[in-house]
Amino acid sequence: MNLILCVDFGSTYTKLTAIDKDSETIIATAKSFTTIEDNIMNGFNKAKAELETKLPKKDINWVAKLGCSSAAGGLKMCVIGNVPELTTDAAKKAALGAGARILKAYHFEQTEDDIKEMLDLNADMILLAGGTDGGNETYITANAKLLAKCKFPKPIVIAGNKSCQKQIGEILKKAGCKYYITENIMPQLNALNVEPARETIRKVFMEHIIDAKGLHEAINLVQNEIIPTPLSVLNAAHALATGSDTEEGIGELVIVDIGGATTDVHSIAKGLPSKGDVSYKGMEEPFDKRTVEGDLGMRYSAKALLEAVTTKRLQKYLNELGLKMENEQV
Amino acid sequence: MATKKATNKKQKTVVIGVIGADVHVVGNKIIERTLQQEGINVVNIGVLSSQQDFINAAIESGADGILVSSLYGHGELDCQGMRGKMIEAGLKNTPLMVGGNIVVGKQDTKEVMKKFKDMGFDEVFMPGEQIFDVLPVILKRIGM
Repeated sequence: MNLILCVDFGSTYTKLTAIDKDSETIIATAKSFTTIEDNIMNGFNKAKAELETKLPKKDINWVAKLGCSSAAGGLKMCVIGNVPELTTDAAKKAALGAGARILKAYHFEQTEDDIKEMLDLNADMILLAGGTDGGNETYITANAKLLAKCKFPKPIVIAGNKSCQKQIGEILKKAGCKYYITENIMPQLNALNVEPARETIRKVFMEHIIDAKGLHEAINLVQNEIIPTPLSVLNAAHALATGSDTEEGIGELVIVDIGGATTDVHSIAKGLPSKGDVSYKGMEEPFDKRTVEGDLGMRYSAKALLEAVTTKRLQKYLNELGLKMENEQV
Repeated sequence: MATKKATNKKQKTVVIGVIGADVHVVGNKIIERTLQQEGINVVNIGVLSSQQDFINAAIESGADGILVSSLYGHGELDCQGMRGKMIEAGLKNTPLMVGGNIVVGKQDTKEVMKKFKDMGFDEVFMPGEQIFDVLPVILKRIGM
């Protein structure tokens, strides 16, 4: 039996799934608490032992092992751009598409207090953007100088105006900051180019963040690399929608991933209007898009969900179901 | 080599578009082509553009000038307060120009020009003025 092992090192649980490659079916699943404090492998081994009890006793051939992680808060980022609706928005889209949780988005010129805030928020990485190619250099340069002045200790991904990227790199290099230069996320006005930035973020996550989060042992376990969990969901959604060389995809789709703390919405679609007489305004949307509702979830954020729904509407819904509940019970 | 590089003039960038609820696109395209032929990097934000759209585009593209078009008569309303917004956005010194049928009906040219200049526009192009005719004025304004 040729099996694929999928591992998700979650913030609470480490989840394992065994998939039969030949019949393309899920054979078994198991989970155990994520043990990030001592050794991530303890939780994994416990879940693996449980998984094995559900599998046939012989002829098991693990052909592939794949992993993703949102342990220790996943990938936490701050993004900096110029105009909120333009490069800052593009930076948010790039970071979300790379599977990051955006702690805060900053625009225009920052102050030392802002940099301090980024450190207090404990961002794993910064995405620094601003300006179209050949366009504005003022803000991105000023922000880079400030990061250099504060000797910013976390990796910085530079994805702004290409005319000044090199110069910004030099500024950060002199200060001893870790930086990565990638293509501009908005090379022309309203034109989005998030792929190179997403790829660079993934690389930096692999090189720096995984280790810092105590996941280094988990790396040896999997075949390729461990990616942020939201990115693996987005990749899966993309595969489902577009198919492969040998198999047709099911077409444009939306996946709603309701988690304990947040709700992720992944859409794989051009999202074009169905009528021709529509004038396009503003920023392009990426084909693979992820957005996050940061305070709506099933467990930690259940209270925020109730506040959004309001008790009145919940009562109405329960009535429709034929259920009755007093306000105190709600 | 460094000195040669320093003398290389950076390509000029101009943001153009049609302001307000105006969808007249033909003139907009003619302006785009004309300026491009002069070697200008034209950032065309198209029709139905708000003041903020012009300003945002000018910031990100590091524009050397903004050229606002209006044909449907409501230009006066649409352009009010634009310079103020530009000052807020740090574009105090960016040349701001407007052209087209910028007011309702036929009004005295001198008065219209004064009105728009008071609103902070550096150049005002009246109905009947062709882009080809006013091109030298535009080029001078953006430092070409």
